[in-house]
Amino acid sequence: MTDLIAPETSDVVLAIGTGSGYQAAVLAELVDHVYTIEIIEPLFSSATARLDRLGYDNVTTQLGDGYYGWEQHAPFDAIVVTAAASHVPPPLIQQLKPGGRMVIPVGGRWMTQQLLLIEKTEQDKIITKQVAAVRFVPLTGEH
Amino acid sequence: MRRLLFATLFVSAAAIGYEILLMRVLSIVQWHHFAYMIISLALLGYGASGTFIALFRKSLERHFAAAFATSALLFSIAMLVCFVLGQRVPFNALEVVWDRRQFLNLSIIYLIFFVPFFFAACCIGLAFTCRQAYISRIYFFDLLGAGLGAILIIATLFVLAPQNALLVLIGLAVIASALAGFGSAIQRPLVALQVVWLAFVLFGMPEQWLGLRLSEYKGLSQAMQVIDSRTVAVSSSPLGLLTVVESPTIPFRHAPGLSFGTRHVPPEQLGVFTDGDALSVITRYDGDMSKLGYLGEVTAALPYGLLDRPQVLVLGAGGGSDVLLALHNGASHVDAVELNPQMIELVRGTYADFSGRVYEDPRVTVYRREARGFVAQRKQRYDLIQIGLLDSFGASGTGVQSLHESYLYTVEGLQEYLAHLEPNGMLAITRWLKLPPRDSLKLFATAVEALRVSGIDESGRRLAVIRSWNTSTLLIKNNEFTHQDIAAVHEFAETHSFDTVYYPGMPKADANRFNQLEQPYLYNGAMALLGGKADDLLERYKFHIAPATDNQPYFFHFFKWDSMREVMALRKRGGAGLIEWGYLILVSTVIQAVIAGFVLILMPLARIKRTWPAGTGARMGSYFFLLGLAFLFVEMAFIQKFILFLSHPLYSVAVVLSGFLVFAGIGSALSARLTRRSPVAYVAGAIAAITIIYVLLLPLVFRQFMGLADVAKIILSIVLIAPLAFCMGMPFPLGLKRLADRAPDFVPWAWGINGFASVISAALATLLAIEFGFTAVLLLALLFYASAAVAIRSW
Repeated sequence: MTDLIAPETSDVVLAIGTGSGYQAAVLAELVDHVYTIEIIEPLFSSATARLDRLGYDNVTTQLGDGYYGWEQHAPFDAIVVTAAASHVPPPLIQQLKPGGRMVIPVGGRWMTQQLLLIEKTEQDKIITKQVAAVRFVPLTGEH
Repeated sequence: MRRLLFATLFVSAAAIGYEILLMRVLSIVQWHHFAYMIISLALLGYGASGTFIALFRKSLERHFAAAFATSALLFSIAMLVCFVLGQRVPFNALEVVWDRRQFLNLSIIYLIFFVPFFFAACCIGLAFTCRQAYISRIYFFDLLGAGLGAILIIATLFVLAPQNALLVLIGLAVIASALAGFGSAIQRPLVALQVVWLAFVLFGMPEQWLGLRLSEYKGLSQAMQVIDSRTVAVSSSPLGLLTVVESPTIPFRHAPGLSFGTRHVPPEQLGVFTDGDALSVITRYDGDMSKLGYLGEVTAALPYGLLDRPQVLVLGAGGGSDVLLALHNGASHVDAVELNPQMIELVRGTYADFSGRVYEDPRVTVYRREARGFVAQRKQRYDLIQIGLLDSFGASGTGVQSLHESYLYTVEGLQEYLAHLEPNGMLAITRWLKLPPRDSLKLFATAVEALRVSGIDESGRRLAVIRSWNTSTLLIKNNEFTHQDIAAVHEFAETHSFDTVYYPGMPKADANRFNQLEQPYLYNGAMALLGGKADDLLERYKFHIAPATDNQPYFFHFFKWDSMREVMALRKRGGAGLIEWGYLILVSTVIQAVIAGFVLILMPLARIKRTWPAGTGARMGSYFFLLGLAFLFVEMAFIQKFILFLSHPLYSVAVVLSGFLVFAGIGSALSARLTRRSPVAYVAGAIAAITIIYVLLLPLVFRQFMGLADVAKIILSIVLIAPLAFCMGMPFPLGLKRLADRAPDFVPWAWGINGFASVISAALATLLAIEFGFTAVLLLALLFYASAAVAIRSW
């Protein structure tokens, strides 16, 4: 997924679903800054502490619903969603820069989901590609 | 004697009630209504009990009352125990492709649910065997019980949840046990056991025993795992268990086919799950249409870009999403048709304020009717007939509905809708888009066929399809699309970044631009279906996408044997999702029915000493085998055919099953009066004549009377079933009578072989109907009857 968004060192990236913080840490090694949102409080707290401890000072975490993105820091060069949603949240697409890329698994949980690569063209058109059939944990719930 | 008759009636009523209840319960906890499996199970119970009684007849006769009463009590206990155990078998239908153990689990479920039917059948069989002098009266009460049981369970399911309806059936069996045991040698201990059992059921049973354990893969189970989600209302009827779920932290945001370009977010929604799946939503609406902006940006909104203030018919209104869609996009009036009265009540009553009283809107008229029946009876024509997404995306992708009869999307259905359109009216159908494409192409093929059958040569000029990443919307116009129409389709798709799949004169470069697939699969498929290569495509496509018809109404059946090997090879590389497991379960049910029937019914009979002339056994056996196959083939085909007329599988099962039992019973009782030399040949001739008349006339009769009230339709169905079932009840006792003169010791074998054939054919008939259609199944049944008529002359 990281490869799909073709990260550049100057990029500002939004990662929805912090989880353990692993994806944010991987991205933090590659890009300028990572903003990441987690909805489950215990996961948010432990990941924040973990990233802090490891010295990732270019990662900013927040507790909240990733569906609405993070308006304050938008637009983003890339958005990575690491939890399956039933559709692509419109606010996330709006917070993508022209020329930006987003990867998101969409579909029912446990059913085959599709990993979508979404590109916003310079003309603000949305082009999507279904990359692969995948399986992710749902947006919230069992972890 | 009177006590025995009523005991028989109660057992018989409880047995058929349990049969129908299990179908309801399995469709809630699993996906499919599994009618074929339950019918097969019940017949296995009856077959095995016949063998059991034949083997132990003498001692059972001596203790008849005690044996009957004990059996009835065991039936009562088994109903509960098996209900509880059956749900605890870790059977996961979605896993059959990965995990062969799931087939074992399926067999365990099969054997568990066999037990109660075995005990019920023991009661009835004992009464027949041990009280032969009263056989006609016992038979009458048995059949009366079956008829009443079907009515009772359907009525009970309107009032009680399925698990509570079970308690009523348990009570019936205990009453039967008490009636039969009265005055018997074991009356005292029996009464004590009955009291303890009832006390346990009513007061001692852990509450969770009766809870329905939904498959964790169903939409409702998944929704309940989202944090803070909770059930806010439940209503149950034979038509479905509705569960309303509120999810304040992570809202439902159900907006299939929403444009990626949208700036609108769906407002608050309540999820309504039918039988734990098939999500429909009630959307918060306060009369301010601007808050529903997203409804202008879904693929289903396409027709509104081509029509001005249309008169709309929405088929399958559910929680009202499609009605809001129509109102938001400028419909002048909406007729909304919904089958389930409780769904309407949720929107109109319980959540009236939440839904903004959308069903009370002066522009909206709601009809509680089944879609096909409503359209067939309707005189009015519409500018737009709209069929939305009635099933969930997840369910549509895995074959959970592959055995589900759907008369909504058949060639005949589409023709009917087209006949109710204004000259420039349109039919719009939105489906989930799966990859590789399946139902979108099948729907397109069905549309092409419906237009062809209606006498339209240039069908391609009347069709247009667009798609989002996960939905496709098909438009069929009742006239050729104009240049303005095509421009409007193009503009709508372009504005919302939807792909055009097909419109008249579409260049290939216009396909696959926004949601880019590896190839423009759908465009290529549509062009092949419209060009001269339709047959070639249907033949070589990996999925079954030939049009669904009323004769083979399995729109969701995509399984092809040819593709099986290829897909299995890809099983561990993501290919498993491509296999339709519903079909595999049906196939394995046929196999396990053969094994179970053989082991439980036929093998024990080998202990019976053979006194009949060598070589005659096979001929006598073949007669009873053919009858078993033929009877169930006709019965199963009728159950599936009557779903169209009675609008719900459960109604069809209840009416057809009890109708066939009662009238075949009467026919059987009166068969002794036939004094002709070859009565079976005459009866088989009558069956053939009636069946052929029905094959030709039933579609017309259904069409004519579809608009009647449910009760009237049920009565008419019974009247239609009566003459055929009456004749079909005769060949079996006529054969038995002939045996009584020639080879009396073969009688248990006759019952056993006939039961064995019935057990297999309940599932086999469904399999054949999917592959070849109902007409083929019925014709095959006639062939069996004819062969039986020939076979009986050979012994």
